[in-house]
This record gives sequence, structure tokens and C-alpha cells, in this order.
Amino acid sequence: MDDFIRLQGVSKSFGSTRALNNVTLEIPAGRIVGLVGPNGAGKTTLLRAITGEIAYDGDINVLGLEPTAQRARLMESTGVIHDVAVLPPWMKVSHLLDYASGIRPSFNRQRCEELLQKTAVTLNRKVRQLSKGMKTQLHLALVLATETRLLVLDEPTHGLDILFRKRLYNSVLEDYYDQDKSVLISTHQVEEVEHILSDVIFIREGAVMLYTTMDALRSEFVQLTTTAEQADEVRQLKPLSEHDLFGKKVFLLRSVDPAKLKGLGEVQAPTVADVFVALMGGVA
Amino acid sequence: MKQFMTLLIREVREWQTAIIIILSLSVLAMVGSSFALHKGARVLEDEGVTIRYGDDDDDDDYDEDSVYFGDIDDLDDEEWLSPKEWMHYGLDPFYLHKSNPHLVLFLWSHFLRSSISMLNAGLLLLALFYLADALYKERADRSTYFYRSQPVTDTALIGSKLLVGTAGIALLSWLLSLVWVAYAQATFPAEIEAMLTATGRSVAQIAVLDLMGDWFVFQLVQTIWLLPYALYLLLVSAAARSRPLLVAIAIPVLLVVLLRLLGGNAAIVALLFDNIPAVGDMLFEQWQGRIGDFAAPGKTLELFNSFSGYIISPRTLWSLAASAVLVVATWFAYRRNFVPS
Repeated sequence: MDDFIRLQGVSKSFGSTRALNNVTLEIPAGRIVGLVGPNGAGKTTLLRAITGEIAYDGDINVLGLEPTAQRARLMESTGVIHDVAVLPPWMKVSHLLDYASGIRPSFNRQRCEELLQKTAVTLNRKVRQLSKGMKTQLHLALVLATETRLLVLDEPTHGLDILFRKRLYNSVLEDYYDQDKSVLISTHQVEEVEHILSDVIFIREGAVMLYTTMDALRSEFVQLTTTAEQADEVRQLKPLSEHDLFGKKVFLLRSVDPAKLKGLGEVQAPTVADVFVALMGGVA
Repeated sequence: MKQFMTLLIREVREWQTAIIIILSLSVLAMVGSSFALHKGARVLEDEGVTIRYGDDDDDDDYDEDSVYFGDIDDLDDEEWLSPKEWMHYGLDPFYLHKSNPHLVLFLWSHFLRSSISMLNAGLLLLALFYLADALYKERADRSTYFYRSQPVTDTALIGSKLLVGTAGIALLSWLLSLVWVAYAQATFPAEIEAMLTATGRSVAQIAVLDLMGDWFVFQLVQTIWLLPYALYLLLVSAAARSRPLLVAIAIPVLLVVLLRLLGGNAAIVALLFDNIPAVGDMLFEQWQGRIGDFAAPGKTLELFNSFSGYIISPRTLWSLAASAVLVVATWFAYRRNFVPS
């Protein structure tokens, strides 16, 4: 399968701060990739490098194009939603649709209007008159009504309530995704998206700490809930993390033979958030 | 092409309030001046007025520029003969000062040129605000992220703003001038038209097509000569962290102050901005009929000489060279600076 996105030794500094540190990644087509990391980890910088918004050191190839030099061409096949409201506030919604029609040949105005009919966004209102959730819905409708191969979502649900967040991710899955497209989602609220992710990337201090498929993550990591008496025995298996829960001990283990866990307690597949906390929050 | 047109439409839509205000003011000015002209014409017809034109400040000193309408032997009375009184004297030229017959036409031609020049100055002021804000506003409201997530090159985006702020403003100025001149000529006050006709003269003597042709060439030369300043404003707009217009004005002022403090030659700053007064000089150099009797009956009146001689000139070359440098600087500044930090 062709690589949709390929990064080789990508670094980026802002003054003395190193935002990206020698990042190497290969993301194939047909994936929904979650980019997870704490604040200041370099998620947004990585996405901006991928979409050609910032210069960088190293090599990036997205859909066969070099993002900074060929940004305009790349954007013909890419949809981007940022973490902050970026739609021009002075524009009417109808003017925004005119703009998209004139700028993007693959924009389907009728489809966009159909998507907007499911929302409270009306064509004669100005963007500044819309709530944050409505702005996101409008932006999403613009993106979903355009024929693109890559969708980049940078904290798209930032500041939205749970209903909007659910609807947004459902739309991405139902109205956008297919096997020829990829979605790159940066988020803090990983528990909300993990059910739609096919891959996950953990990033910290500008470096990729983990890049794996969700299937691999579920088979590689296990969560074991056991008693205090059996805890020492589990500790022999070098768990990634350990914490107390209602008088019991909860361990997260990596690459452990399931046979060794028999009789030690209840084995469960961990959530992405559990793995993230274990890897990023300090090893027990 | 469709994409670039969309960018231009976006600019017009963003500034449509300012454009509507300008158009409304223009209509108001047309109606207002029309009213004032008819009112003034009635006063002239009924009472006669004293109008002084020329550079003589001394009341007792009259020359050919002085506007006087009355008996040549009674110059000291400083009064016009009203058209009614003039009719009473049977239109005998003896009773008229030798420059009087073309007086109305003479004043009218100045009125037309002055009004389109003032309209032009007003639109240049709009261009100043537009260009200083053009790249800053989208960074300030963060919509630059949206625009740059569209398949549009930075060159096309900057180009659309530059085109609107220069050629667009010039075209608007020319079109409004065309409408204004046509309107003014068509509504020339009937009260004084009779007087003109009696002297064998008419406002139709004014070569309107020639005027608009000259004015078009003037707009072209003005646009080229002011292009470096338009790009300077765009550059500041792309780089400033706040108040781009203030920054754009403050930079040359501070440069002059600094050069003076350091004992340098501040004249170089004035030289850099020399194109601005040069546009005014060009206008007045070609402003015909400031003195003299140019309005013979039946003679076509050209209000401006040709501006085409200014197109190919050292100043044009300098302007284009400076603009090329500033285009590159603006492009890089725009790529580097996303939102004001």
C-alpha cells in the first residue's frame, strides 16, 4: 500500500524550543490515526508541518507532494479543521459556500447545504453570529462536501459539548471515511475517538513515543486487576504502571505471555487512555 | 482564473461596507453639488456675485485671473453684472471684462477637474486603510488558517489583495469620475446655460472623452508610481504584530528622527517617498487653462494635457524595481508570519 504520509527525520524549532525532534513516520492510506500527546508535545506543529503551514527540517511527503513547496496542490486533496475558530467571521455562510465553490473544483455545494440542513446553521447568517459548535459544524460540512483524500483534524472538538463532539466524530466516520482516505486526528480526549481509530501515535516533547495499530495495541498491552497479595508476583513481570482501585491493584503490562497471567487476576484490554497514561505519566 | 476571480470577489465582499459608503457619499455629493450649483446659478442670475480667482491677494490688484463681471470702467465696484442686467445692456461686449465670456466655462472646467481629483484623493485614502489591513486582518482573526488550508498559492492570495488595493481602486476612481463628469455635464444649471449660449459657448465644448482618456492614463501612471508604497503597506500588514497603519507611518518618521539624531541625511527618506508629491506635480503640470482665454466659441476644450509621457520615465522604472523587491519581501513575510503573537 502506498504511503499517504511519510516523514523522515523531521525537526522543527521555535527559538530555543524544539517542537519536533527527528520524527520519522509512515502512514498508509485508509487509516484513521489518532495523534495523542500532552499540551506542548508538538501535535499541532506536526500537523502544520504535514499540511505545509510551517517550514521544517527533514523530509515530508504527503500524497506524493512536498507540503511547503506544493501546499496549494496538496490542499486540493486535503481538508483541514483547526483547533480554533478560523472561518472568516465577517463572511455570510452563503458567501463562504460561494468561496469554497470558486476555490475548490471538487466542492459539492448541494451536499454541503444538505449537511447544513441537519444543523442550526442557516445560509444568511454571518460566521461571527454562530456559536462555536455551529462554526465547527459549518467547517466540517465544508470539508465533508469536498472530495479529498486526507482529512486533518487538529483538536476539532476543543471547547465543544459532548453532543457536538459525538456528532462530529460520527460524521467523520459515516460521511467521510473509506478505504481510500486517511484521517489524522489530534486530540486530548482520546477516549472519545478510540472507537474510530485504526492507529494511534503518542507524542511527547516533539518525539514519537509510540506508533501502532489499535489491534496491535490491544494485543500488546494488557490490564490486570489483582489483589494486594498477588501484586508482588505481577511486579516480577515488570508492569508499565500500577495503581490502586477500590482496594485492588491494577497493572498495565506490555508484551507479556498471556499464559503467565493465568490465575493472577482479571485480564482486560486497556483503553488507549490507560496506555497513554502508563507510557507518558511515568513508569511505575 | 475562476479561483482568482473568487479571491477578488472575497476582497470586494469584505470591503463592501466601505464601498457602499463611498458610493453613497458620491451620490450624495452629486445631488448636493447639483443643488448647490442651481442655487448658486440663481443667485448669479438674480443678484450677481463677486468672485475672485487668481493669486492676487491685494484687493486693488486685478489681473487676467480676476473674475469680474461688469462694466470695464467700473472695475473698482467689484461686482458682477448679473445675467439679467447683462441682458438689459443688450449683451454688449463693451460691458464685459475681456475674460468674462469664458468665465463660466473656465470655472466649470476647474470644478470638474477638482472634483475628480478630490474623489481620487478620497479613494487613495481608502487604499491606504485597505492595504495596511489586507494581510493583517486575516492574521488577527486567525482566518489565515482557513485561507491557507485552501488550494490557493500565497502568490495568488497576495496578488489578489494587491490588485484590489491598486488597480481596483484606480478603476473605481476612474469609473466614479466618469459617472460624475457625465452627471455634472448633463445637469449643468439651465440658469447660467443661457448666458453661455449667448456668448456662443457651451459646456459641450469640454472634451469629455478626451478628459476620461487622459484621466485613465493618469490613473495608470499614478498606480505605477504609488505601487512601491502599496507594497510597503502590504509588507507591514504581513509583518506587524499590531496596528499596521500606525507602524507603517511610524517607520519613516522614526527613521527621519534617527537620521537627524545621528547627524545623517534625512533627505534620503524624503527621496524614498518622492513619488507621492510627484503625482500631484504631474497632475498640475498637465492641468490646462489655469490662466488665459482658452475658451473661444466652438473651440474644443481639453482639460488636461496628455499624461502618457510619464509612463516611460526614470520614475516608473524606479517604481517597478522597488516594487519587485517589495513583492519578494512581502511574500516571505506572509509565509513566515501566521498570526500576530
